[in-house]
Amino acid sequence: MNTSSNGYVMGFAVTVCVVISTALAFTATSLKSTQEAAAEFDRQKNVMMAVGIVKADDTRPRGELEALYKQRFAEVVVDTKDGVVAAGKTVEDVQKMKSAEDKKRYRVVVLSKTEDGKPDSYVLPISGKGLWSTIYGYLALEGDLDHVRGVTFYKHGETPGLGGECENPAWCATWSGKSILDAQKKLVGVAVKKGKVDGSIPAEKAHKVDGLSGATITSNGITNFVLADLKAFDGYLTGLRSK
Amino acid sequence: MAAMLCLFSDESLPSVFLRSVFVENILLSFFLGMCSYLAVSKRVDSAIGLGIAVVFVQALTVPMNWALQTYVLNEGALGWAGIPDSDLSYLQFLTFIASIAAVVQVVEMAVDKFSPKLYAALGIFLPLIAVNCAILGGSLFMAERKYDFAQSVTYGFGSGLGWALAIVSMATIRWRMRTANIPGPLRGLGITFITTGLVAMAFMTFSGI
Amino acid sequence: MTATTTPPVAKRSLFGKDELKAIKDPLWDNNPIALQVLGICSALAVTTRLDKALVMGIGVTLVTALANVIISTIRNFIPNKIRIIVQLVVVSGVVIVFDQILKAYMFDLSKQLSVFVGLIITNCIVMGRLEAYAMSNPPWRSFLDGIGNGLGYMWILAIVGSIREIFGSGKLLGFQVVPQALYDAGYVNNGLMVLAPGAFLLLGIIVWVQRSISGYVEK
Repeated sequence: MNTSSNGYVMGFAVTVCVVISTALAFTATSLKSTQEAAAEFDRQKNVMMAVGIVKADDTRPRGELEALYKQRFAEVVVDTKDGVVAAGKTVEDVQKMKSAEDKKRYRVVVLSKTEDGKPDSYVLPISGKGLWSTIYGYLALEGDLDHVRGVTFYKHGETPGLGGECENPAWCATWSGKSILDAQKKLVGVAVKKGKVDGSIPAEKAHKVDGLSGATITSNGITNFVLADLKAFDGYLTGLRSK
Repeated sequence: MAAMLCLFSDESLPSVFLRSVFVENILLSFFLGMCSYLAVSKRVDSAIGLGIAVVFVQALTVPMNWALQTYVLNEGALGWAGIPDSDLSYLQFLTFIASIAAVVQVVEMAVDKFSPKLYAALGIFLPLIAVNCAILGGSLFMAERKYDFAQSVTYGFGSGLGWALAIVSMATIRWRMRTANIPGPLRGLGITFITTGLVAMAFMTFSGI
Repeated sequence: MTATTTPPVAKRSLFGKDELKAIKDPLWDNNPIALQVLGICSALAVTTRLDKALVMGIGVTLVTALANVIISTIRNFIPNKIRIIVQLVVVSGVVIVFDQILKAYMFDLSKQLSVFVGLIITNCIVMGRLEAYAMSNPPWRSFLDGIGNGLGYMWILAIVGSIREIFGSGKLLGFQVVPQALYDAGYVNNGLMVLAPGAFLLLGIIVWVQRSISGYVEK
C-alpha cells in the first residue's frame, strides 16, 4: 500500500477526523449531566459558604451537603424592576431565559432558614467585571437586611495571587458584619478600599474592607458591581424591610 | 503609567493593550511559550525573528478563533445556521489548535511565495509556532475572558508584542552572560530561569499601580 | 506495508531491558524538565498549590501515555506528510476527554486549572515523545515511555508545588503546616512564592541542584 498517495492521505485524514469526533461527541454527551450536576453543586456549596454554614474545605460528603441545601434553603425569583417576588416564574424559567434584558431583570435570590425553619438570611447573586473577567459571587445579608453575613466569589479569571485572591476565604471573612446602609438607612454598599481599612474612622469601619494587594482594578470592579447589584435589589429589599 | 491606566476604563482598548503587553505579560506571568523562549533566546537576531513571527500569528489567530468561538462553538452559536440548540464547546481545543496550525501553514506558504527574503529570515520559526503554548493560550484566554471582536484584535496583538519584548530582552541578557563566570551546573538553563525570574519581577512592578 | 514492521512475537518479558529503560530513564538521567527543557510552559502556572500540581502531573502522564499508545498502534498507517497534524488531533482528542472527565468529577480543580488543561496539547513533552519515541516503537514500550516521562515531569512539578504552597501560604494540600507559634513570633507567608517570579527562581535552583548531582554541564 502506498501511504504517500494523495488518495490515501485524504482517506486517512477523513477516517481520523470521523473516529475522533465520534469518540468526543460520545464522551461529551455521556458526561454532560454529571458535569451539570457538579456545577450546580458547586453553586449550592458557595451559597452555603456565603451564609457560613459550610467551609470551603468541608469534608462532609456531597450527598449530605446537597441534603442540607435542600432542607435549609429556598430559591425565589425576584423581579428587580418592580422589586417584588415574580409570581409564576420558576428558577427553571430564569435559567432558560435567553435575552440579557430578562436575565438582568429576573434574578434568583436564595433564602436560608435556621434549623427550626425560621427565616435566617438572604443570599443575593452578584457578578460583574474585575480586571480580566466577569467575577461571580454571592452576598449573604443578615435578617436585618443591612449587615453582611458573608460573601463568596466562586468563578473568575483573575490573576492567581493578585486579583484571584478575591476567592481567599480569609479575605471574604473580612466582609462579615459590614453594613450596606448608612445612618439614614440609605444604600451605600460595601467598598473595597485601596490599602488597609482604618478602624478609627466609623464610616470606614462600617462600609469598607481591605483592598486586595496589587489588584486595584479587581478591587474597584468588586466595589462597583456589588453596589450596582445591591441597587438592583434595593426595591425588593426595601419592600422586605417595611414589612 | 498609573495615570495612563486610570485615564482608560477597564474595558477600553488601550488598557487591554497595555495590560497584555506589560502587567500580564503572557510569558512572564503566565509562563506560556517557555519552550521556544528557552530554545531561541540564545541569540538576539533569532529572538527578534521569532518575536515578529509570534506577533504576526498571534494577531491573526486570536480574532479568527474569536469568530469560531462566537459563531460556531458557543452554546446556541449555530443559531444563524438554523441549529439553535447546538453546544459544541467541547470541541474548543481541537478547533483552536487546528485553526492555528492552518494559519501557520498558510502564512508560511504565503511568505515563501511573496517574500523569499522574509521567508529566509522567518521560515524556520513558523513551524515552531504551531505548537507554541503562547498562541493557543492567547486564544483560550480570549475565550475565557469573553472579549468582543475589537478587544480580541487588541489582545492578540498586545500579547504577541509582550511575548516578543520578553524574548528579545532575555536574548540580550543571555548574550551578555556568555562571558560571565557562572558555576558549571547553573550554566544554561538554571541561570536563565533565575534571570527570567528577575525580569518577571521588573515587569510585575507595572501591576502595583 | 509488509509484515516486517510487526515486531517478532518471540517471547519477551513484559519488563525487559528496553522496557525498564523506557520508564526509568526519564525519571532522572533524561528528565524532561531538567535536561530536555520540555514542557515548562504549562508547568509553572499551576504549581501554586501541591494538589493542582499533582492533578496537572497526572493529566500529562495519562495524556502522554495514551497518545503514545494510539500513535504507536497506528504508526505504520500514518502518512508522513500529515503526521504532525495527526499527532495534534490525537493529542487534542485525549486532552478533551481528560478535561471533560475533570469537569464532571473534580469540578473544583477543573475551575482552578482553567485554560491550563487545554494547554497540555501544546506541552512539548507530549508532542516530543510522540515524534521521538512512539513513531518508531511498539505500543507497550511507548506506553511505558509515556508513563516514565509523565512521572519525571510530575515529581519536579510536585516539588515546586510543595515549596510554593508551604512558603507561599503556609499550607500543604490545604492543611496548615506552618505552626501558629511561628506566625505569632512574627513569621509571614512569602507572597513572592505565589507569584510568577518566585516560580522562576525556584525552578532555576532545582535545575541547579539536579545538575550538580547528576553532573550534567551545558556547553
